[in-house]
Amino acid sequence: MRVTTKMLTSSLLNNVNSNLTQLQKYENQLSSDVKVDKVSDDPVAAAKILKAKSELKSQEQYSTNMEYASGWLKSVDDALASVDDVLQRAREIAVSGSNGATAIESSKALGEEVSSIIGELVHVGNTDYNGSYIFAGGESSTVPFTTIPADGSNITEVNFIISDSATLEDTFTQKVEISKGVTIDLSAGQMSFHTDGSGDTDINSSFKTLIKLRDYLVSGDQDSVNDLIGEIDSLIDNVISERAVVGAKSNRIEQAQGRSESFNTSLNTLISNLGDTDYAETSALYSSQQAVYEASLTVGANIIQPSLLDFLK
Amino acid sequence: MSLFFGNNIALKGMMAQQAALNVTANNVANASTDGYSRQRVGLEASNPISGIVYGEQLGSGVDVSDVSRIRSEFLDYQLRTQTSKLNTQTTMNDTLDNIETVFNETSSDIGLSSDLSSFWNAWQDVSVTPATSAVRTVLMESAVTLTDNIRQIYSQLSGIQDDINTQISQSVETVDSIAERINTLNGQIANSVMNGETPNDLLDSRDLLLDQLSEIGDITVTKRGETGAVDVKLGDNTIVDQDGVHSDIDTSSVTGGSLGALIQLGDTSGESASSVQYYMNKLDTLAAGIAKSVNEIHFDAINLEGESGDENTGAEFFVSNDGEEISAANITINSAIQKDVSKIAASDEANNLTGNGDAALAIANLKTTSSLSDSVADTSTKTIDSFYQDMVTQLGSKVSETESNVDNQQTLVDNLSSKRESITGVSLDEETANMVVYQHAFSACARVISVVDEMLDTIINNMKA
Repeated sequence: MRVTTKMLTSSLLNNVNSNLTQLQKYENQLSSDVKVDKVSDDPVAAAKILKAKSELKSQEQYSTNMEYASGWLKSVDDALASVDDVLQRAREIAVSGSNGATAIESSKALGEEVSSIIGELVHVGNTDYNGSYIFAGGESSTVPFTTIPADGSNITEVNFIISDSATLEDTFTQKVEISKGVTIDLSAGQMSFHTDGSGDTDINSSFKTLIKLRDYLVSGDQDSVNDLIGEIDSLIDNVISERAVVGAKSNRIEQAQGRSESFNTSLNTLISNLGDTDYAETSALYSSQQAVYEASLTVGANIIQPSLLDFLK
Repeated sequence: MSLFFGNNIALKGMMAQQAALNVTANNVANASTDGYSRQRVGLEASNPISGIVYGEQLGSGVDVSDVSRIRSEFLDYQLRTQTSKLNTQTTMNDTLDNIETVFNETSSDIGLSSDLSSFWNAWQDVSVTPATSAVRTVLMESAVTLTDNIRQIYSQLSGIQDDINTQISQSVETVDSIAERINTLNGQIANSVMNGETPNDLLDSRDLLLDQLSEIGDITVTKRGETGAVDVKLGDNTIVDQDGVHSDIDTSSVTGGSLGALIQLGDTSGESASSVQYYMNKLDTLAAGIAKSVNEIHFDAINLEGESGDENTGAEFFVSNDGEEISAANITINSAIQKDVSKIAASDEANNLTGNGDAALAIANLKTTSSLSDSVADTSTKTIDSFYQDMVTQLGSKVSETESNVDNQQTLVDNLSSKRESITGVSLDEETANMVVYQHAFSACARVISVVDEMLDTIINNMKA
């Protein structure tokens, strides 16, 4: 084949250029730590990365949701523990108040104590977590329990935001999604505050019972006080069952968090494997490409220079 | 037979060598000229003279028969065909690469897919604490970002589409001007041929123009008899023939070259994944799909003020900013929501529950439950997320496909042009070697003249009668 000067230069330029392009590609991968920068770099891997990233974003959101939910359930549990304490104390008072030896004066004093217990229970019932009232169900931005009189002294009636037992069930729903399609209901208080001794829905049953207790104690009606003990016991049972439910939910979330973490790790590994630079491999390729590039430059410099003219006098 | 006969032969030799040297000089001078084909002097022995001496024929020197260019028409044809294809792929690749840059789905967390994720996540946040205005504001902002980006991408795609149309009309103008020049050259070449000359440099200029034309479109070159002129077709359009230039070309029949690629890219039917319109349509489907599915749930849901449906001024979460049907060009968030985030309806319970986020959760779940049907060709339904991912992946595959096409085609073209260069290009070594030959031949002829001179001197001055 006849070889002309122009052929030599243009093929040299083409080759040096393609070597440099390759070199730049490796250099870019090494300096950016990214192998698949644009989708077109590797469409198959990029498709998987896009999917995994979207999945990861969802998982991160679920993690945020779960953190919120477990904090919420923790404060629900704390509040229910206080409810339990309050009711236990009420039971003790009822037991001592039903004792025939108790004088009418002491009975009145016990009645006063119950009065303050009612105030305490209202306070616990109005606990909030991060601005949301934990026992208000879906009305979390409204103070759930209000008293009559409003200053809380000698309370005659406690009102809940919902007065119709038919819609009560609807109120207690506060779903949080903790993984794809799995929701947990965070609402609490239905069992502890609004269920009577026989397990039926009865709005504010705990307050009603305590108010009755106070009134009987003040009037010295020991028999009725005695009758109330059983009712208080079942209220305490209700609180304990609700705490068990809350505990079970916390456990579920804890397990889900564990699963979510390992899922996140595997997603991150997948994304990294598909899209990040393999340093060992790329460095090796880079070095050999550099050698090729330098060789092509050296050879080029040698080929381009001489011509027959150099050897003629 | 006279001594002057020898002198004459030598003179003709000197003249021929000089002519050859001039051609060599011309070759060397044009060693790097685009489209130049090396030229060669054809030398032939002059007609011999018969029977003057010994009854034999006697050579009478050398004549320059022609100066011809060295060129392979077959390689020209091949190279033009392949250049045409190369340019189609290059233009395709450049434009699709631009489109890919517009979508900007790179390794870093930018681009629509991340905006979409943030949007769905913001709904999740609202579903958890629906009454908090901070999360509602975050949701509103993420929706604004999403719609802004959709509109921006759409307008950038329209920009590319406009750019393509401009390039098409520019290409047509270039074709016209090249056709004009080819037509002029046709005339000049035909004249020279009629005069019995070989118009090497004119032919080179015309070949160069044809090379340039092949970069723009697929051309067919036919010789017009023995006149030396050529007829040129671009796609199915005759642009140069015996009647001159035809400038009213129908671009739709052009399939090769950069123009062919531009025609495909600018196709407004939106059926081919190689057209900008295709991606604009996809984006429209996406925008309309998001708007429809979100609005459907949001309309009936209840906002913080207990309003739903028509009484909620923000019931339509996404609206269009120009009164037309919602598309990627006009999608925006309801201004009532932008002014007052409590208009975002998160609850689906009838009794005004500020803490209920069921509707927000239902909207957040659209990420995986929504379905979009692609109005074009594809009847399968996909979730919003995978619809977008599939589109981006398809675009990426197209870019990488054209990229490797360009690489392959480039190798082929490089190969062919190197082959052509091998035939038509000037080799300085060869020219130098020729130069030495011509120079020595010239000297030798001159030497013959001086020998003849000496012989004449002997006869005229030294012979004593």
